[in-house]
Parts: sequence; C-alpha cells; structure tokens
Amino acid sequence: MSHRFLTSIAVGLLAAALAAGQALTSAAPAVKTSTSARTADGQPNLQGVWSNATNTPLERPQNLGAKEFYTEAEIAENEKRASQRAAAPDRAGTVADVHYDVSQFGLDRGHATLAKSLRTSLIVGPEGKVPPLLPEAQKRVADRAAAAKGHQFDSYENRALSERCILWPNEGPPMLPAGYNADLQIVQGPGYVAILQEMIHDVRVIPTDGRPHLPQNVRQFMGDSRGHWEGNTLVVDTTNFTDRTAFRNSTEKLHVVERFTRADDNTILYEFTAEDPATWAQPWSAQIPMTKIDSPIYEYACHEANYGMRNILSGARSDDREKGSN
Amino acid sequence: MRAKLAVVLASALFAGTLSGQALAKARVKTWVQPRTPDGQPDLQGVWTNATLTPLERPTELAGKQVLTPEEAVEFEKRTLQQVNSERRDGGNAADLNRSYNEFWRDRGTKVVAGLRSSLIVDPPDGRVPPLTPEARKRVDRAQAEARLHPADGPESLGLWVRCITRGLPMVPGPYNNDFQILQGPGYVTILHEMIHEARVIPLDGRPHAPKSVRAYMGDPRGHWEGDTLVVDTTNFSAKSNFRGSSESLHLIERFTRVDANTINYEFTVDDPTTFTKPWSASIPMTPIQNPIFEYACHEGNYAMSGILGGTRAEEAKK
Amino acid sequence: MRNRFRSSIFVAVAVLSTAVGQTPAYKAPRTADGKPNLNGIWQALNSANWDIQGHAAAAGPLFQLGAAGAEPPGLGVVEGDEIPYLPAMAAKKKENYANRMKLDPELKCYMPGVPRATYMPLPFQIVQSQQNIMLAYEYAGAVRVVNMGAPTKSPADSWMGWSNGHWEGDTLVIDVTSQNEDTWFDRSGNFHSDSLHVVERYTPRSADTLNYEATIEDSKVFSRPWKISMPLYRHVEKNAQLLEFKCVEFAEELLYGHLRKKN
Repeated sequence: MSHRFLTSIAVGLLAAALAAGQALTSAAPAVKTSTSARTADGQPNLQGVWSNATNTPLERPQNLGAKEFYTEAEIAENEKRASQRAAAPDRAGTVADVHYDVSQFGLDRGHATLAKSLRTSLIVGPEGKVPPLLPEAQKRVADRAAAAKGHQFDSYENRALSERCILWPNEGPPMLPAGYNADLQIVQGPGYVAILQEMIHDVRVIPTDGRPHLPQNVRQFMGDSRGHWEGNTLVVDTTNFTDRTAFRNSTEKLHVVERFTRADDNTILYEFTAEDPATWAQPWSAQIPMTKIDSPIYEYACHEANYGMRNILSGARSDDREKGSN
Repeated sequence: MRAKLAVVLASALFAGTLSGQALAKARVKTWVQPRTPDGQPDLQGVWTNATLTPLERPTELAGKQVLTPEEAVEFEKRTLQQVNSERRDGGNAADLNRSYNEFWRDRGTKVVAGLRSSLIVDPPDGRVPPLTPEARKRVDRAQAEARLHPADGPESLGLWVRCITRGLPMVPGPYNNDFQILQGPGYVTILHEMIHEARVIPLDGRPHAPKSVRAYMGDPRGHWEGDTLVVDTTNFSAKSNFRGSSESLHLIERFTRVDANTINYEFTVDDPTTFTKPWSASIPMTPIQNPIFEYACHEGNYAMSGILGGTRAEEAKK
Repeated sequence: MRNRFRSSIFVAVAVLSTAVGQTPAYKAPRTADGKPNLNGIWQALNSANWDIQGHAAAAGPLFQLGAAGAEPPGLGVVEGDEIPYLPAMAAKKKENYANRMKLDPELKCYMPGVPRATYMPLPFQIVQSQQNIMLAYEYAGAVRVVNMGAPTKSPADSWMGWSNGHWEGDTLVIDVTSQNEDTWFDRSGNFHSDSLHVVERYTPRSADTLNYEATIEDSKVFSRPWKISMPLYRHVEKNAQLLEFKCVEFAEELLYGHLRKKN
C-alpha cells in the first residue's frame, strides 16, 4: 500500500519537475530563423526581418513595350550594370556630388540583398505603368505646383513629408522599396500582424479579428489597416488616408489592398492593388518579392537628427538675405 | 424544607428578573448610537456648526468660562444687533462698507448649548496662544506686504477671496456653515458646502502621503476610537494659513455623535513653528433640513475683477 | 488507482510549490506556446510623465492654457520617493527643471526612451510572438522589438535602447541598454547619462492589469540603483486600437518657426 503511494509521489514529483524543466529550457537560446509554417496560435508564419530592395523599377522602361518578363541571361546582365553604376563615383564638383557618398556603407546598393525577380517592372500587366492621372487629378497636381511655385523654401510646411521626417513615401501602404533602409520586421501575436518599417520606425499593428474600419472622420497618414487570412495569404485592406498622404498624387479616397504570401523560407511574395476613383481610371497592381535578411531592424531616428531641415531653411534664408528679399 | 427554600429562591429570582425587565425598559428610552451597515458609528447627514459663540473669549469676559442663561440671552441680542448689516444707522459710507444684507448670512441665532463663552476650550483662558517669534515675524511681514500691496494681483488677496479654499479646521463663519457627512466601507467623507470641498478620509490605517505631496486641505487619515472618529491631517501646503499657521500644521479633529441631533466636533491645532503651544476648540454640529447647495465661488467671483479693476482705476487717478 | 495517482500528483505539486515558497499570485492565461499572455493595449494612469516623484498640483508653464495646462498632482512612482542623485547631478536636475521648456525632449517630439515611453499619457500595444515581443507606443510611433532568444549585443546607441527579454515565472523581464543620453525620465528634468541600464519587469496581476517595475542604474548620475513601479491598465473597450500620434508636425513651429520666411 505505502509502496504504491510512494511511487505515486515520485511520479508526481517527476511530472512537476519535468514541467518546471520545460519552462527553464524555453528560456535557453532559440533557433535564429523560424522555419515553421505556422505561428504558435496557428497563423501562417510571416515573421522575420525582410528586405524589399530590388533593381526592378516600379514602371516598365519605355523601350520594353509589353514585355513583362526578362530571361535569366538578361537579368544577369542588368545586375552587373547596376552594381557598376553604384560603384562609379559621381563627377567631382557636380550637383550630384553634393549629396551622399554612395560608397558609404548602407547607401551602397551593391550591398543590399535583392530578391530574385524576372519582372521588367514591379507593376504587373501589359502596360506595366501607373495609369494616367484623371483630368481632375491632373488639375489638382497643377494647382498644387502653382501654389508651391516660388514658395518651396518658405517654411518647413513647404517641404516634403519625407524631409520633415513625418512620412517616407515608400512606407505607404502600399510598401515600396526605398533607396536605403528598405527593411521591415513582421511580428505576429494572437489576432494581430505587426509590420515595423525601419524608415521611419513606423509600426502598423493590423488586427485580424474582423472589426470594422475607423470612423470616416478619423484619417491617418498611413491610413487604417484591417487584415484577414485567405488560406495562407494575409490580405490587408487599408482606407482612411489623409489627403496629405498623396501616394502618387492620390487623394484621401485611396484604397489599398495588400497580399502577403510566404513563398518559401526566405521569400514573401508581396502584392498590392491601389485604387482611387479621384485619381486613376482603374486600379493598378504590383508584385514585390521580399527576402529574408540576417540583420535586426535598426532605429531610424529621422526627426531627432534632422539637421537637413534646419540647414535647408537657414540656407534659404541666407539666400533671401543675399537677394535682399527677406 | 427543601421545597420551601426552592419557592423562596424562585420568588427571589422572579422578583430579580422583574426589576431587570423594568431596568431594560428604562434603558430603551436612552439614545443608541446608530451604525452604518459595515459597523461604523453613523455620523451621516447634513450638519451646521453655525453659532454666535466666538472662537476666542472676548476680553470683557476674561475669566468667565460659562455664561449664565441671562448673560447668554443678552449676549445673543447684542451680537445680532452688532452684526446686522441691514441696520441703517451710519450713512452711505457705513452702508457701503457693511456690504451684502442679512439674506446672505447664516451665523445662527444662539450661543452653544452649555453656554461656554468661547469655542476654544484649551488653553483655559479661551484664547489662541501667542505666536512664536518666527511666526510673529512671518505674520508681520505678510501684513506689511498686504498694506503696501493690497491688490497688486490675485496673489495679494486671501485664499477665500480668490475662491481657492475655505481651509481647515471647520470654524463657523458668517454663512454656509454646512457640512454633509457620508460614510462608505473604509471611508468617511465630509463635504464642505463652502467651497464644495470634499475630504475623502480613509480608515484603513495607511500612512500619510509622501512629504513631497502638499495640499491646501492637507492629507487626512481617520480611525475610530470607540465611537469617536479621529482625523489626523498633515501635509498642509505652505500657502495654507489658519490664523498664521505654516506647512508644519498638524491638525487633529474628533467627531462624536452624542445624540440624534448633536455631533461634538473638537479640533486641536498643533504647529510648533507658529503657536507656542497646541490649542483646542469644541463646536457642536446640529442637523439642518436643507441639502448642501452648490457654492460656485470661483464661477461667480465678480468680486475679484471688481477689486483689482477698482484698485487699478484708483491708481490711474493718482 | 487513477484517483490515487491524480491526488498524489496534486500533493506532489503542492509540496513542490510550497517548497519553492510561492504565494498564490494571479496566474495569467497562456499563449498558444505556453507563455503568460501579455498581448493587449495598455496604459499607465498616473502623472509620472509630469514628475516621477510625489508632487502637488501646480500651474503649468503657459498661463494662456489656464487649468488645462496645469500639472496634475501625484503620489509619485519612485520607491521611497527619493532619486539618489550624486551631488553634482542633483544641481543639473534643478537646472533642467528651470529650463525645461527649452530642454524637455518630449516638447520636440523626440522618442522618449525607456522607461518614460511606458508612462506617456498615451497607450502602447504588446504584440507577443515567440522569438520577439514588440512594444508599439502610440507616442511618436516609438517602438521596441524585444529579443526573447539568446541575448544579443547592441550594435549602436539609440533613443529607445536595445532590449533583451526573458521570462521569470509569470514575469517578463526586459534588460535595456544602449540608450543615448538625450532622453529624460519626465517633464521635470529627471535625467540620466549614456550609461543608463534599465531592467523592467511586467507581471500580470489580474485579467486587466499588469504590475510594472523598472530598476534604474547609472553610476555616472546616481549613487545607487533605484526603482519605479506602477500598475498598467488594459484598454478593454471594444475595438481598442493605437492611433497615429505623429507629433513631428506639432513640434515643427517650435523647432523651425524662427527660420520661416518673413511676410
């Protein structure tokens, strides 16, 4: 009788010890890259740090007409020419020279990990171009340019959102490759997919619980995103943009649908469709492969170090004084 | 023999029980402290401490701790006559200085039951003890400043005129001497009608707030001693001022309900940087039929712009 | 036999627990991978961002805002209510306070660093995965991704620092290093150097509250480590979400207004 009891205690203790042991070992070093197809709570796993840097232009080069895909050989030739261009120094004394030193680490496009793509343009379809602006959009753009003429350096308000470190145009949505810091990190929790874009440390925390969009009168620079899963694809629907977001001259009516599909361990296929009845006659779509990179996201403290703004404006005021117009 | 003894004993017992019953009947007629559902003595209701008895014993009554009933009646009549702002016996200037009329006043019509000649019960002379030398200097400086700069800006005027606070302790004044006491589990709250200030007093024995946190009404902590609520208040702001007191003021108040219509309110002022010794007063609180009204002091503070504007106008004339 | 086995396990586990000396604290529900679930939108409910020490209410720096710009009172979040500044550093704190309208990085919409980000008067969201836990702050879109694997070294100083995390029972412990010296602890000028080392502890205390503690160590500024603590409250309203607080725009006039072209 006592024998059995003792055995039971022993088993109980062992079970408890095992449980405790498990808790301890899960704090030990985890695997560096997750290759599991699903997160712990069953979502398709998009997690990791990704780059969407690419040599493929958004719009198809004019001379290619309706050619949607290169051959492998053509791609190799393009890549060689691209890295040669990146390594070539700008001619000293030119305007182009008074800019970044492209050989500096981080700005050298030759170092960026590029995803493989045979496309001639990121925009899909026979045209491979952003649709032409509707007449009302053209007028809007012209009016804006006219109002800005002669005032480009009056104040910080006259500068681009990117120069002000408020919003980088590549952030979107849709997310487009940037010249540098084209990196993003995806972290998934129960009911949420969070996308952190390195430039400018902006996080979209996307709920997947089916809740409605924000009220109409709440507008945001990056809009308001709602996600849901279609099989293994995350579909993100974004509305509620401000009229100052102006993605490629669009209005607050901009509506973006993005799709994220994990193609393999090291690739996410990212696709988006953009539509704005006040800007384009029809929606247009693009495909951008994202590659996994072995790097953390760094802090892009754009605003905190925005000497650019001060220098631009004080330079302009100095010009004004020289011209006697201040 | 045994039976007889039994009968005698039984009768004695019976008689004893009878007189016990009679005593019990007599006890039922005296007042029993009501209690809140969680067992606190029940002090709840709307109360006033308005009275004609002054805080300090008038000098002409020195040595007289208690008035006779006749003296009390005479005192009441004389006081009401003196403070009556509706008498027209001094010409226009006197009328202007009296301000308001008796419609606003609520100072009571009687001296306290018991006919004490002052609310102060300690020291025995019924007067506030002398100020310490440092307090004297402080008060003199403040008074000199006030004479030189009577209305430079809002800060020149008193806390009551600025509608900031009526402060503590609860000493009766010319009007709105009303308080509502509400009790909930672990708390006694006292709502002062003027200036709609609510003291929420925890009874759970927690320590006072850190020294760095100061307040005009200080930081109160309560506990029960028998059926008496004892409220200990510290952390007064340096800007608070009760008859010259400083941020070192330590105020102890005691509330005891002695019958259906009386709470004995006693307070002890202990501020060694201001008064040469602690002093205490006792003021009865009696129920009133009205609710507490909203005393929107600041929202209706035309006096402030009147005082400042008037002073600026006079200065402009000079 | 089964019953005896079960009750034996129960006894054994109970004996084990008592032996370890655990008091029966709240045990949070688990995520799918067995960790305490801290997912959610959280916010501090205190005036620590004004002043982490105890303080009475006070007029604000701009009289034009009247009561709307006034400083609310607070019991303080510093254990012992004392910040152990080295003597020279205490003087610098006073100087910071006197010049806070010029020096407080919050006014310029600079990232707040840790722990100030926790108790800004805006919410933050915890998105909890296995290798990483993201803390996304509504204020200025500041963000931290906490590495939950083997600790990694910071590549460079930054405003929000470098965070490595691990679990201790139900507590998420985050070790934060490599913050630059440009952030403050509050609007009252409490500051640190670039040697700042912060260890945070997030412990669920009920379904909708966390206990937050941060131990602060900086031998260039303080004579010993010191601690702050406060509860964090869950946003339980339906469809709670972080909204954009891109405050650069609100700070631009302050930063660049003097460079605006006249007339």
